[in-house]
Amino acid sequence: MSNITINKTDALGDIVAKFPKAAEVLKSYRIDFCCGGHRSLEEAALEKSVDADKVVGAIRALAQELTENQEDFTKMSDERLIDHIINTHHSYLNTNLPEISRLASAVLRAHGDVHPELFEIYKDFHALKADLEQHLIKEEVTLFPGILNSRDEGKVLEEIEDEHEGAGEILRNLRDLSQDYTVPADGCPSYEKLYHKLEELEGDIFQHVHLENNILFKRL
Amino acid sequence: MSETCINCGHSLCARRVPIFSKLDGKEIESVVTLIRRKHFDKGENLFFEGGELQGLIIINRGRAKAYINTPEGKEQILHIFFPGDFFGEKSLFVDKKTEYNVKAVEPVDICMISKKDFQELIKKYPGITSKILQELVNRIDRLESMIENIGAKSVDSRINAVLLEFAQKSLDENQIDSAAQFELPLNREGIANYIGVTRETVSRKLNLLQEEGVIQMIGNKKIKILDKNRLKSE
Repeated sequence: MSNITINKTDALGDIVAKFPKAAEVLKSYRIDFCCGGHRSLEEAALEKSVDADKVVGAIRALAQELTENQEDFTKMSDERLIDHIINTHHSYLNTNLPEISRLASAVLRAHGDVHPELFEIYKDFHALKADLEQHLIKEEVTLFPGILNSRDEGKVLEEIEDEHEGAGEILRNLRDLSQDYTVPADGCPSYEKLYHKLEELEGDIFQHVHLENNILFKRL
Repeated sequence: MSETCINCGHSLCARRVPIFSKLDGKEIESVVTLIRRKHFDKGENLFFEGGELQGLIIINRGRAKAYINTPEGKEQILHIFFPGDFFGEKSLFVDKKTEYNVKAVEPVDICMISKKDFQELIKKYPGITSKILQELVNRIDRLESMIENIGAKSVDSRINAVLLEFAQKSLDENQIDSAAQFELPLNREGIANYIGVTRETVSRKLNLLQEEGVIQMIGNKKIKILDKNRLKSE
């Protein structure tokens, strides 16, 4: 793949839409590409005092590794994209939110005394969980059918986007509290699993929000 | 606590790290409480160039490569980190951006000590600082000899040097002398990027060394050094 054109002035959302692997790079620099996807890479890099050229270089290198058969979400019809979001991301959350919740309780009980940040993590995660659960249903019963039937769901759309921002905020907080999901020395395997699952959850939500904010909603 | 730690799979990582080797049992215990750990899958990046490092990172299991992307989109490998190797040491003393990308070339477990915790630690145990300095000097030596390799040494001696380097990282002296087998941490392409030659040259030179009885290749990745002195002499 030789025609990899990424410029500093491109919007983050467009870059990730074109090169999904760029998400990995941006996450590592803690650059928000889903809710802040409309900003240019240059702008976002400046905010994090990162050299934008380095970011472009890292993305370009990863994009070269892209496999040919990667799905191009930008070319999917609304209907297929919505199906994909529900089958992949909604189903992920429906399975994993309850599981993470059980893990979080067990880990809190075993380690909360020595690692009080776990109480904050527990609270933040459950706030996120409650919000996401109603959010998924709202998308499934109101927003998505509206999009497919060309109804104007402007107000719901605004709500959905606000909720995306709220989720992003909580995820940033969780990353800070867990020191980048590193497990303390005395953490047991469940502790490890909890942090691993939370990080996986972050990745899933970022991708989910990206598909909606930067691809699906931009068509409306 | 120690009971959970014993069960944790990669417990007491600090004991493996050379910079902590002079600490006594009680001191080691206090280092261990500062350690945080994380797993990375093969191919995952630990971080990218120009980002922020949260602290000292120690490779506890698996190997990782440090590399930069050249403007032409080529990958230049700077270091291969083996278990026990550490990096991020500069960011412990000054605010610095990471100077290279680090990617797991196999599943990697790391231990991390955050900058803040570390500064408390060296106040308590100043001996650690001099140990880190020793390791830093070793690393400068290695970079200098790499520059020398690229600039002045012949292709032959570059390959010889890199084989010896990998052997010394994987085996102890006795094992090297008895021609023990070890695994190359990089494939041909990776070795080529590391020492600045083409992949074809690496393959050709490895074959030649094998024909001359200096090395023996076992499959694609495993190797035995049969005649260490001939690798050194050129």
